[in-house]
Amino acid sequence: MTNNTALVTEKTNTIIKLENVSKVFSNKQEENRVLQNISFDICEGDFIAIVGPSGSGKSTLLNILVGFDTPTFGEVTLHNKKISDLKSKQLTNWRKENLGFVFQSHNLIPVLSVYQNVELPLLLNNVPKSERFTTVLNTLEVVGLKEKFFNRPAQLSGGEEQRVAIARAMVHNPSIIIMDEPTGSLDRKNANHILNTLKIINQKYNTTIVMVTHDVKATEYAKSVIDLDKGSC
Amino acid sequence: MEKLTLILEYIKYKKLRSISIITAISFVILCFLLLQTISHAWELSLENRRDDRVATWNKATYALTLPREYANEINALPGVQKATFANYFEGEDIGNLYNQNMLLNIFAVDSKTYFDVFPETTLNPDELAIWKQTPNGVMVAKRVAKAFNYRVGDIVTIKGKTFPGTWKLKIVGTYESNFKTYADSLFLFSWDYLNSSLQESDPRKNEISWVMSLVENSNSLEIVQEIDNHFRNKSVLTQSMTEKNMLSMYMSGFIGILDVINIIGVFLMLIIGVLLANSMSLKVRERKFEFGVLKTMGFTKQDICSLVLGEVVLLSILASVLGYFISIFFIDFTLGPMIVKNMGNVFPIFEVPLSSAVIAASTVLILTTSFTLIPAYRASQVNITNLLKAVE
Ligand SMILES: Nc1ncnc2c1ncn2[C@@H]1O[C@H](COP(=O)(O)OP(=O)(O)O)[C@@H](O)[C@H]1O
Ligand SMILES: [Mg+2]
Repeated sequence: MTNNTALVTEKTNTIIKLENVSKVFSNKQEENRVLQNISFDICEGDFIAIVGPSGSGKSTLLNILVGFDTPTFGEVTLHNKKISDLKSKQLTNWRKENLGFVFQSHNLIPVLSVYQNVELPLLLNNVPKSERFTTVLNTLEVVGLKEKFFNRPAQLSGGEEQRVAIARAMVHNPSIIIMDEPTGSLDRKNANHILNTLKIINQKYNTTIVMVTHDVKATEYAKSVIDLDKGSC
Repeated sequence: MEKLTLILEYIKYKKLRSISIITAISFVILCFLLLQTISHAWELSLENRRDDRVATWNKATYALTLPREYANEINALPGVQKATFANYFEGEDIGNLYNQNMLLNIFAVDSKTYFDVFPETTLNPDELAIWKQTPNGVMVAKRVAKAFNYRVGDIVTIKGKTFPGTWKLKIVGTYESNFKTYADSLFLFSWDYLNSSLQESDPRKNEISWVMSLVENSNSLEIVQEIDNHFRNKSVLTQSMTEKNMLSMYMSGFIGILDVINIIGVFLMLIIGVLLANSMSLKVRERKFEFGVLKTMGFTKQDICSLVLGEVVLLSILASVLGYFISIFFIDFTLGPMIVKNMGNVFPIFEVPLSSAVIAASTVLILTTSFTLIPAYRASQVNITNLLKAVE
């Protein structure tokens, strides 16, 4: 571990770097080793699928990737800065600019319209109003929901909701979009639609995508796969 | 900015819930302001009563009279600086159609001494001099003159009730009392003029309703005793009391009620605080995913906190504004005029004090926000790690 630094050749476009990350959840009775010695780089344009059975630590890994959780051992680096060195304000700022996040469900703010939901990251990044309107509409067009911009989330189907969530995750042109089982609560047809959308986004806009899934079909869309079942990689 | 939008959308989204919260708070504000108005009116009333002015009337009842000489005798007692006297005169202005149904507080007073005993009055000395020389002259309170549209020089035709007949009285001046009490709402003409018009056989000839005297402040209570003692062996006994004690006596039952209302007011406030906090707790639970999502977008804990608190602050402000307007409508425009009309001698003014409105609004704000601190804190602690698992 001490010699590792010499071996790693820094790629300029590395977004997130994991080095020997392990996570141990422990309580009085037992220790639960969830992640063991995980190292990999997420670079610009990557489309990574993280797979593994339920309980293998996929969600835990995502949390660690963007600093919602801290690894028990090892180091996570965001744009060449160690997370452990970042102040919490710096970390939230990093997320604001660089991160799009999609949960399995419950992604949208129900009180806001589709348009307002997608607009949020732009508001948070102080994009001027004139720009916001066209950007939101263009992004909704990418996910095929331009005509629904006025609707409330409650008026959308599950698949549509996820597509809006993806639109919102990409609208501010983040360095990386992270998704936890984005198709987990959808039927095959809708899931494929989402996966196709993701593939297009990745190819056309070179958007970096990291997606947790236990859907084998989903891995076919990704450029690389990390299998947590094997414990480490 | 985006937070304000979000807060507004949250409030608009569940309209019924927001409206019921706003209504409940504004109702509490109304209750609070009503209470404040009562105690304010009461304090003002007390403040405007003197310790050193003594009223003396017939011990048997207010309705009976005292002999005119009693005023002179009281005036001569040690410790009494100046005494004046008056007769209540019931009547209405029949000369002006608009004024006919309005209550005019008419007194026949001793014009030579009256304003000496009411030194807290502002008036024009020239007008006062004219009044003293004009037998049918009237000094009228400025606010009455305004309400009845009287101008100096006007002849007012009064139809007397207790003293029947038509009285042509001439407005010669106006006055204004620095005390906003009954004394600031009178229509005063000369007792001599009234008395001279009475037949010798009239039992009310040379009789007066009451004597008011300014006394030495330091021992006013003893002087009160002395006055009543002085008439102890006369055929007509007197009852004397300082102005302040008269009001306290009149209102003694009422003060207990004030305390009760006060306690109820505090309870209402607390209940509203608890209800609102509870409602916010529910909202926070409902919105835990949303808060998680906002965190992934770069919302800090403080941002989430301010989202929850902001909603409460906004609701409270809306409720305060609404509550204030309801109170103004209900108290200043509806209840107030009724009370002033029927209890004007106790509550000459019955209006929501602006300071109380400010206190009410800030109390509501402080209470609701402090009660919401816990739910807001909970919201800020929403854990994305747990949310990721919650859906599986
Ligand atoms: N906060 C936590 N405390 C204790 N154990 C946890 C915590 N979060 C996750 N775990 C455990 O870590 C393991 C992996 O969980 P998770 O990352 O959610 O798996 P996956 O997403 O692959 O289904 C599970 O055994 C889970 O019980
Ligand atoms: Mg998971």
